[in-house]
Amino acid sequence: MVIDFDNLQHGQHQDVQSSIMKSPRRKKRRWLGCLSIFVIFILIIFLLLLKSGYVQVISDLFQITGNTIKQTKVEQTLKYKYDKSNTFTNILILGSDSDAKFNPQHLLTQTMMIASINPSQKKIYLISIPRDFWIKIPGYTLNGGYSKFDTVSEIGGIQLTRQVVEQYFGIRIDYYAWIGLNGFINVINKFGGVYVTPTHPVMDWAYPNDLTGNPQLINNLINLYISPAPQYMDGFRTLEYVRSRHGDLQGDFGRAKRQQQILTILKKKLETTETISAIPSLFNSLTQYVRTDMSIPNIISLATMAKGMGSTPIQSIILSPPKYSSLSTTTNYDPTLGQYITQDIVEPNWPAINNLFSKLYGN
Amino acid sequence: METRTMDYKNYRQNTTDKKHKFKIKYIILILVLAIFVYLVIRYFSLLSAILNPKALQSYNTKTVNLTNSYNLKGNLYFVKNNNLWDITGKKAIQITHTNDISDIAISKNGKKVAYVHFHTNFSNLYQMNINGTNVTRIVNWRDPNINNELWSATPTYSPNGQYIAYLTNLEKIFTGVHVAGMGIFQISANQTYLSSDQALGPNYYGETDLVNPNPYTGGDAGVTWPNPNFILYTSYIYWTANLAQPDSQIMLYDFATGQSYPVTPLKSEAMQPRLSPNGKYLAFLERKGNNNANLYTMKFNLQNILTHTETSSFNTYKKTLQTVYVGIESHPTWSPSGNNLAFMTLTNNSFDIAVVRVTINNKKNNLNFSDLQHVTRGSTLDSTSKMYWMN
Repeated sequence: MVIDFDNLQHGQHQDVQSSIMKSPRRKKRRWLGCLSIFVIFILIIFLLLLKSGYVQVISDLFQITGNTIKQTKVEQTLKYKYDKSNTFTNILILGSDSDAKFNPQHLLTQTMMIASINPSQKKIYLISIPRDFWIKIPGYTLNGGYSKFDTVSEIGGIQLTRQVVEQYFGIRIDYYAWIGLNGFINVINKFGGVYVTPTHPVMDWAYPNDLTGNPQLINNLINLYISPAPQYMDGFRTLEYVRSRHGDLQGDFGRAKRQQQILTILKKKLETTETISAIPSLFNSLTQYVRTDMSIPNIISLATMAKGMGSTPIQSIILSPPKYSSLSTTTNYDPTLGQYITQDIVEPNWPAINNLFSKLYGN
Repeated sequence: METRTMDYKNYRQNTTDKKHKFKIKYIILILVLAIFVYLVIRYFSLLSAILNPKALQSYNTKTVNLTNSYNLKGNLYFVKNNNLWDITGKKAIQITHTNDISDIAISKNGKKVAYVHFHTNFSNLYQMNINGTNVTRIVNWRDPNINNELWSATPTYSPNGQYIAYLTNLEKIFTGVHVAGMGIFQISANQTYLSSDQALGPNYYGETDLVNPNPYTGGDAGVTWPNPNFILYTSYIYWTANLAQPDSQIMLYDFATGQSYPVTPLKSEAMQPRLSPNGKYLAFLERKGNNNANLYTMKFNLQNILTHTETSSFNTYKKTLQTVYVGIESHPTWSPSGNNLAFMTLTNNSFDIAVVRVTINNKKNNLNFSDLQHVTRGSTLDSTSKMYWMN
C-alpha cells in the first residue's frame, strides 16, 4: 500500500492512522498487550494476597466449604409443615465420635442440633435432638425399620440425616455443618479457649481416651473430673466438658445442655474482632475435621447476620423428658451378635414436638 | 520528497508517542485498579482481620502483674500455673515452682498448706509448710490395693488445724457403685501416706465419712470449715421430679447432729460459700443465665439454719441478699479484719484479683461495698483454687 502523504486532506490523516491501527497485525498486538496487562494485574493482586496469607486461607476454606450433598428424591417432593415462607435459615449441626473408629462418610452422630436464625424477627434457636430418639428410618430393614437417631448418619450419611430431620421436624434444612472431635478442639483453641461456669462437677468413670493417636488406645477409657468452679478451658478441656455423659445423672440430656452452653459462649466470642482475626489459622487447621455445604458468601452472610443480632438471646431447647420425650427400653434381635439385645431408648412425644415447632417457626 | 520523509517521520514519532502514552495509561489504570481492589479487601472487615492477625491473648503467663494501686495488708495466697503465690503489700512472691499445686487450703495459724496434685485418672492430697518445704503425701489414690483410681479435691483445715476435710469418691471402692459426685471425708492432718499393705476398709486412711452424695445429686464441692461445729459446702442437685435442670445450693453440715441443713434455697444456684471472720455474713457466688457467676453476700444466722424451715433460713436469704459484683467471679475471701472482700473476676480474658471495701450500714442494717480496686491485671490466675487472706 502506497500513501500519498502530500495529497492527504484534512481528517484523512486520522483515517490512515486508524486503518493502520485496525490492521490485523496491530489488532493482534493490542490483544497481546491487553492480555499481558491483565496478567500483570492478576499477578499484582495475587502477590499482595499471597504476602498476606490470604491465598492459603481461601484454599483451606474451599476444602471445608461447598461440600454439597444432593437432595434426596423424598426431599425434592417434601412439603414442609412449618416456616413455609422461609423466614428462618436452618443449619443442621452434627458432631461425631472419634473419626478413627468409623467410616468418614458414615459416622455415628453423637450430637445433632438445629440452629435457626431469623434476623427480621430477631430469633435464634438451638434445638438439641437426643441421640437415642427411637424412630423409623427410611430404607432401614432391621427392627421393623426402627433405630436410634444417631445411627441415621451411619446408615445413610449426611444426605439421609438431613432428609430424616426434615421429614420428622417439618422444617427445611438449608445447610449442614459437621465437626469431628479434633475439629472441635481446634475451633476452641483458635478462639483462644472459653471461660465457663460449669453447671455441676463433671465426673466420668468411662470417658473415651481415643484422641491419643495410638490406635491401641481407641477403646481405652479414663476417669475424668472437672471442678464446678468458673474456669478457663482450652479446646481439649472443653471437649471433655461437652462430651462426658457417664457421670451425668441426666446422661445425654445433661450433655446436650453443656453443649448448648458452650455454643452460646462461642456466639458471644464470634462477635469480637479478635476472634475474626483468628480465622486464617482456624481454617488452616480445620480442613480435615470440618465439612459444610455452605459457600464462602453464605458464611460471610451468616456471620454478618449473627453480628447484627448481637444482643439477641439464644433460645435453647432440648427435646428431653418429660415434656418432649420419655425414657424407655426395647428388645430386638441383633443379627450381628446373633441374639436379642435390650437397649435404652428415648421415645419422642411427637404431638408435643409438633406443637413446639409450630410455635417456634409458625405455619 | 524531503517534506514527505519528514512528515512520515513526524507521523511515526506521533504514533509512537501516542502508543507509549496509551501503555502508560493502561499501566496507571492497572495500578489504580490493583490498589483499589486491595483496599476493598482490606476495608471489608472479615478480610481486613485476616490480613492483620492479632493474638487473642497477649498476657505474660509467667508473672503476676500488680496494679500498684493497692497496698495489701497481710498475705493473700492463691494459685497460678499450678504454683503457690502470695501477695503482700505491693509485692507478688512465687512460693513454689513445682507446677503441681491445685485446690489449696491454708491452716488457720498460716503455717500449713494442704493441696491436691491432679494426674490423669486420679488426684492425691498433700501437705507442706507455707514456705513450700516439707511436702508430705496424705492420701494416695493410686494405691495398688484399690482397683479403681480415685479423686481427691478441695481440702479445708479444721479451725484447730488437726483435721482436713476434703472431697473424694471413696464410696466407689466399697459399694462398687459409680457415684456421680464426691462425698466429704475428714482425715487427720498429722498423718502421712500409709503403706499400701494396710487393710482395705471403710476408713482406709482413717477417714470419717461426713457427707455422702445422695442418689440423684451431682455431688458436693467448695468445702470450708470456718467453725469447729460446722462445715459449709455446695451441694449439686438435679434430675429430681421438680428440677429439670442442674441446680446447686449451699449446705451446712452440723457435727453435733451429723445432719446437713440448707443455707440457700433450691434454684438459687449458689456455690463457693465463705463466712466472714465474725461469722455474721456469708459471701458466695450464684450461677446466673448461661454462664455468669455473680458475687453476693447474705446474713448468716446459724440458729435459723439449724432449726430450718422454709420460712426461717430462706427468709434470711431473701431479706438480706446483696449483690457485690456481676460477671464471672470465683472464690471470694474475706480479709482477716472482715473489712475487705477479695475475689477473682474475669476481666479481658484473664482471671484477676479485685478487692472491695466492706462497711456495715447500721441504718439499713446491711453491708456497703465501695472502693473496688483491681490488685492484679492480665495475670491469668487459677480460678478453680481457693484464695486465703491471712494476717
